[in-house]
Amino acid sequence: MSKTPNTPVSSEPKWRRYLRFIRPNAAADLDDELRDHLDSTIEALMKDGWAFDAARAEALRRFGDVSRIRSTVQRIDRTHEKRQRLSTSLDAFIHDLRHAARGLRRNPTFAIVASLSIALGVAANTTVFSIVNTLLLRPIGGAHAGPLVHVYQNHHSPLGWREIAWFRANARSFEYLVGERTEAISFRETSSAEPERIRAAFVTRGFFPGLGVRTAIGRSFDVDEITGTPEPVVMLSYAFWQRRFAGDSSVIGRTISLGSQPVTIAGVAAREFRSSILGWTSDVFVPFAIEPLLTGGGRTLDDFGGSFYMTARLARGARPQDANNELRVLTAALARTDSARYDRTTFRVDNVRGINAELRQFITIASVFLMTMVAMVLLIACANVANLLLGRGAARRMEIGVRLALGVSRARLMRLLLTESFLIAALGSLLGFAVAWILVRVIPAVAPPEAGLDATFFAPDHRVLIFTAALCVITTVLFGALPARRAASAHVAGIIKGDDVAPTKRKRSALLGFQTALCVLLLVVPSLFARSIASMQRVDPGFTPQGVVDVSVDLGLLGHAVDTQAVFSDIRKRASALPGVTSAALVAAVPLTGSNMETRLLPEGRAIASRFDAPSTYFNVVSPGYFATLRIPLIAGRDFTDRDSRGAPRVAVIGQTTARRLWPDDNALGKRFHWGASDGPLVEVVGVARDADYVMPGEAPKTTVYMPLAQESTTKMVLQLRTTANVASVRRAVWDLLREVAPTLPPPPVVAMTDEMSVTILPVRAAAMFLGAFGGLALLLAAAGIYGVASYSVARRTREIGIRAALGATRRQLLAMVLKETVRRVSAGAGIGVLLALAAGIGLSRVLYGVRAVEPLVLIGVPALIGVVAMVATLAPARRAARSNPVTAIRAQ
Amino acid sequence: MADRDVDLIQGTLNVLILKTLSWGPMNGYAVAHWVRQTTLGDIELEEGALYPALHRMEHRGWISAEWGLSENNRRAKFYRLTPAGRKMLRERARSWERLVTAVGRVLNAETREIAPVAS
Repeated sequence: MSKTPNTPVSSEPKWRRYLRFIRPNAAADLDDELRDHLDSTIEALMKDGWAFDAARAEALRRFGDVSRIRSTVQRIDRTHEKRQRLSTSLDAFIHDLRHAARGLRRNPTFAIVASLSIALGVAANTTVFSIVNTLLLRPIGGAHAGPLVHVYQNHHSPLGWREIAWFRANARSFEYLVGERTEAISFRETSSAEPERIRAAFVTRGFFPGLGVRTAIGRSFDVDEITGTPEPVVMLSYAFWQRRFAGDSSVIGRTISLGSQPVTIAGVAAREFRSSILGWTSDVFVPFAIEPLLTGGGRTLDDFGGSFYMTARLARGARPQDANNELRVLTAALARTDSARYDRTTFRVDNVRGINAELRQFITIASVFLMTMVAMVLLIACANVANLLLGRGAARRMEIGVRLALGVSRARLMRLLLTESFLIAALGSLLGFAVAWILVRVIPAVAPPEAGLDATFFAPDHRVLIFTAALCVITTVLFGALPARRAASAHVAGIIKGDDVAPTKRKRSALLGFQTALCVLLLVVPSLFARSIASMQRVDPGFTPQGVVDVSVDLGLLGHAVDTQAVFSDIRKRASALPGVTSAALVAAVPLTGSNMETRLLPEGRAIASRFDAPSTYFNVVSPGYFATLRIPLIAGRDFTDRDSRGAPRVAVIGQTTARRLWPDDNALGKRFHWGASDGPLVEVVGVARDADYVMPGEAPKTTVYMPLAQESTTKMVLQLRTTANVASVRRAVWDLLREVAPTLPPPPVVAMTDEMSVTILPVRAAAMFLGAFGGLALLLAAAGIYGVASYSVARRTREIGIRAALGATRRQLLAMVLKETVRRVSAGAGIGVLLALAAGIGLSRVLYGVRAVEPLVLIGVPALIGVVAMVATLAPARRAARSNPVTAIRAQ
Repeated sequence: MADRDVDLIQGTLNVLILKTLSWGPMNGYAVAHWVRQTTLGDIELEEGALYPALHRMEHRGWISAEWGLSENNRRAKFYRLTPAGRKMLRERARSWERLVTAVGRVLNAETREIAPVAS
């Protein structure tokens, strides 16, 4: 051969090909293979008499597109290799897992204690995250349409009918704009049955299709408020259908009575759907179009529609900021139609996940706080396991030394040890998840029924599962990395000779101190919460709730128009005459039960540019006798009387602070103010009452005004009775009384005022409960950790103890020697913990009522408690050491 | 091109390669040469197309490969049929023959013997 054909298959430099002698080079191999093919073809052709250039061209023609084929083959090879690598590493991982499992089986106590520690930490974290997930992250359950947003007025307020109609007609960013409002309503299964009080959700047009809510059975409805015929149909909620109709599918088409109107059941909503608003649970869904029909009295949609919580489905391609921009433009246009009402009003869209904007900020802060606290529990658990692993590593020094001597690489050894840690974390996480799964179903059961939580409310979903899986990996690294590195970095020669002293002591005491510090913090925080609750219960709210029973009387439930003033007055007078009742009154918002109303007062004759410049004032609507019933002293003037009726001059009783703020230099009695706006009705002050708490116990006094019931048009009041009788007998008496006065009224709830008031401190109490549980867990874990470290250190010093005993040390001395070490570590940790707790106290004293930044009792009590626990945990191993026989102790290796 | 066509062509190519390799180990060039010779040029094979097929079958374990030297002392990759490949060849050959017979029967039919389905 005169000329060796050398077909350039790749542009790679030639020397690269030698790389394959060092490691397999797939690319170069492929090039060689293809080059062999082309060169063979060229040689064969040249043998047949072809010229080189022609032969080469023919060879390439026969072969086809070289670079395309090359890349195809490369892709095939790469895919294969990737698959191969994956299965190899999976095999290796499974092999390591098996190895780790064998190791753990040989030492079951260690395996159980370690994975239980992690399980406790993971269970607490997963439980809290499940709740956070529900409250902040989960989209509307059972709503299959996307993308959804909530729409609010002024940051977090609901919308009225006028705004809904306006945006629905004009906003192009929304494909659907739907609202929901919930109210109690009177329900009768047949027109002759006894009335019951249930919750109805009034929903606007497009609610079910807009949210993509499916029906369990039957059909949903979609009634337009203006053009639609007010078809009297309703849908049942799944839970109500199950509870009240035992899931009977023949309810479809049946007629029931709502308010006092017959309505037809069209369908039952899907099980997962409760409401467009998290936390609401309604029994029936009713088209808003028929609300005037049900609750009657010739009112129009405008009279009802002031409290719709809105959800919108964004139009295709519209982003939330587009919707916000459009809302701004449309609000300006709306303000031009009614500037007095909409001048300072804003509208915005907001995330549809989790709780309403109203509570979001509070819940977010609380969530971050609780998650931080519960993460510390997991840290303590990790420190425990790390400690156990360090001890185990020390005990396995020989095994590891032999492995290293046999040539197992340190990286491989670390992988083996980390796999063992992973196995512990995985076992713990699985168990922890299972416990959390149960716990989140128990929490709704112990929560007060008013919270309306069903068993699956906090149920974990895929997000929680991912969270737990992430915890598993994080904990593996947290507790496994340090011991694995330490074990794998051991000195082979030293270990095998037996004179390698694993220098783990300092690490272990650092871990112990760290645990103690966190434990102090985790016990101090719930103590502060408990103190706050105690302070709130001790504080004088300015009235006397003990001995008062509340009865909600909602005349809207009658379903027909009545002279509400006459009915209320009748009820109050009859109730005052009930046996045991010393005084009775009606009030619109019972103080400290979570409801309140605000307005603005503008003193007569004072120039104020806008109503927003007048002080925001709490207001309440009360009947005569309210101040006497709650024992709120009147400082000046008089209580309302029956003469302060609709036609009479408008009058008010104001709070002490109101009097001082509005008329600082003057007697408030006889003064007048405009109600609500500068052109609002003039109201004369006839009385001044002592300040009383309204929203939170112990709050700083705010301006408050009381208006007489007879001059307002409220239909929903609470009858308050000061009585010596118990709640049950009051309930019977009041129900009898109401049946006489208003036979179509469903029997209302009757509860002690103090019970109702516990709602205000419910969040604090719930937080305290959780934090207390974390503190308990922390203490348990820390005690286990201290016990473990003490046992280990005693075991390591057996020989030393034996020698000392042989040399004549008394048991007391030996005991002191062993205890000293633990005491030193624990007290160092406790000191740091107290500093942490001080910082936490400074923060919490700003938000918690009645808590000082420095609570000496707590700051001394908690470390003392931990000290006692640490002593007990150390004592058993220490006594064991002191009692041991010097001879055997000295012989011990 | 529809996937079905690729499958058919690839399947056919696989059978050809397996059959060729049943005569003994050879490199890609030899496979191509042998196919060209045997079919008397009736199958116009794009020779490069052999290689994806060869590599794929190697990954599947139907053929194995080893490096050797070609006639001109070039590094060359020789493929050899594995027992799995031999089994595959038997199966594929059988189904190929069935297909050919069936298609042939249809194409050679002279009368429409089957009664039309009543409408």
